[in-house]
Amino acid sequence: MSLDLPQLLPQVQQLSQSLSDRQAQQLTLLDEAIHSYEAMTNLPLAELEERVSLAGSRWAGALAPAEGFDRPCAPPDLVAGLIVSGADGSQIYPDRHTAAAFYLVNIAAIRLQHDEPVAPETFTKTDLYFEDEQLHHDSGQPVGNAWVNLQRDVAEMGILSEVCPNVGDRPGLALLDNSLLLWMMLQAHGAGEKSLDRYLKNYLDSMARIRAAGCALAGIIDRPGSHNVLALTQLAMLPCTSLEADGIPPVVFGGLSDRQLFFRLLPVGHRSPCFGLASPLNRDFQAAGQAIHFFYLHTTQGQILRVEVPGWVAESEPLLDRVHAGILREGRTTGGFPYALIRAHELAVVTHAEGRMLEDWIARALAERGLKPEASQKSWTKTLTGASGSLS
Amino acid sequence: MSDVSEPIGRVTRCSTQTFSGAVRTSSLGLPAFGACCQAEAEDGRVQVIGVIHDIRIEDDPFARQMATLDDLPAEQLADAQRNRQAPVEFSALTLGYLEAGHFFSGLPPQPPFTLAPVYLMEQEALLKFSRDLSFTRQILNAEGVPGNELLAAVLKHMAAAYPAGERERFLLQAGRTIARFLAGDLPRLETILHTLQPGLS
Repeated sequence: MSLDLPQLLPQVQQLSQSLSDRQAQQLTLLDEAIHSYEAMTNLPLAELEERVSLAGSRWAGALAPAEGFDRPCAPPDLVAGLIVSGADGSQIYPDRHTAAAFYLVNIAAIRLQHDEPVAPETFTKTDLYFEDEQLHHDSGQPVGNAWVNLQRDVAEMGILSEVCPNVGDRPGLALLDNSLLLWMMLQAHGAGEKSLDRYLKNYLDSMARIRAAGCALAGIIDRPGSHNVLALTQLAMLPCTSLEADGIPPVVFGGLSDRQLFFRLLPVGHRSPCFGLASPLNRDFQAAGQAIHFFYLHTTQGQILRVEVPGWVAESEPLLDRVHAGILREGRTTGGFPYALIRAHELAVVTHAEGRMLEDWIARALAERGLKPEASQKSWTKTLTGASGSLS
Repeated sequence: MSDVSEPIGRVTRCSTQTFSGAVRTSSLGLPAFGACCQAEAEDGRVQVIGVIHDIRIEDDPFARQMATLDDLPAEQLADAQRNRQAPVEFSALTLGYLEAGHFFSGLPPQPPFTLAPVYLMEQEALLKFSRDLSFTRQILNAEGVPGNELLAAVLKHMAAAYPAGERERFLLQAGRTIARFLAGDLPRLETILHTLQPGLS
């Protein structure tokens, strides 16, 4: 064991003390946040929208919910015969220490029919990337982990759009274990704008296919850390004059998340209003008719999920109810997180052992062609010291 | 009898005395306790013959959690039973082998290959292999298997391969063979013959 326990243990104690102190502070802050949120819900929507408008292009928080704050958000009835599709992905990142340069994206999906004793259909797509143009951007820079994540996220939406349309006349619900916004686009440094645009187009086209199939679509985020609604709550507290003069101050409910707010506010099974999102990335989605909205859902097992939906779901009461009720039903047996996504993850995940097996196959294939596969010196020494299974 | 043209699984581990295989459940159903199977060895020159003595389905934390629920949705139950089930593992006790068209009782020169397909024995092969009942001693002496039940099960399985009029004769002959081997253990002999009894009626 390489961790120095005498150094580490006091720090662990400090961590627990810090969390304990923070929790006490947050309880006080949370009461204030709840009070402010309730005050915001009593504001005329037009006034709230005016504040957002004054915040201008700098505003990146939640937008006022088009449905308002008055509509009851109790668990709706589940539509009969729902077909749920879930997709997830896994990957092996490029590693310059392996014998051959490659990376891998593994995508899986499952489609199940509620209350039918029929084995769900499963789908897997495994892609190995090894050509020079796949390993490097147009600029010549090697692709990094963020690029692989972007490909994975686009492929997940892609397989979902292929799987979910075959629902006949039965209502469909398509779920992703992810935000619907393609955040990886912001992190894929080195990729040219053309490449990014191409991936974004593929992604948006997939969303359009899901819409055309009549399916509802939602992205699920477990244990969300965002504070978009708290930011809107604070914005609602500010006088318009100060917004014009001083700009947007930092969030005063620092350290709190929307999750904590709605855990206190939402009864089990209920959802929050469906908010819009003023993210710069959402503008690209809006241009394609896929502006992303979100709500929080208190699942039956006492967890808060952030659920993201495209505008065409947010603006349709039947589709929004289908998402709400469908997620609750999916989470009934699993502690709150949708069963379809748990299984999609299980089907997609690439373990360390499988990764090593793939490296062995590649080494053998190279040797059969008379090539001498050689891992890097660093990689080889890790096998000697037993550090090849380390976290870094 | 089961469809023997499709493999029931593939060898995952093996030794001279036993071999195990894994199979995903399918329309063929699970292989049966006491069924005879074969897998190739020595570059296909030899078929190792075994009798299935154990069928195992391992659980996992997710399956255990689902099992505790009162009202498991129908689609999740179907998913667990048909998609998600970990490969069924079966273990076979080696009884003999087929080489150059002749059946032999006893241990083969080499075990089967890893990942060799495992097939249920065809009716014709069962009839030929069962003519020499010395494999019964191997089952009686094997460790780590339910010998009495296994012996009764394999004999019933073999008897079913015979034409209806010859089944009783086969079982009576098998009973006499077992009686010779267990002359010094009458309680065990009685137990086995009693288990065989329904096959004789």
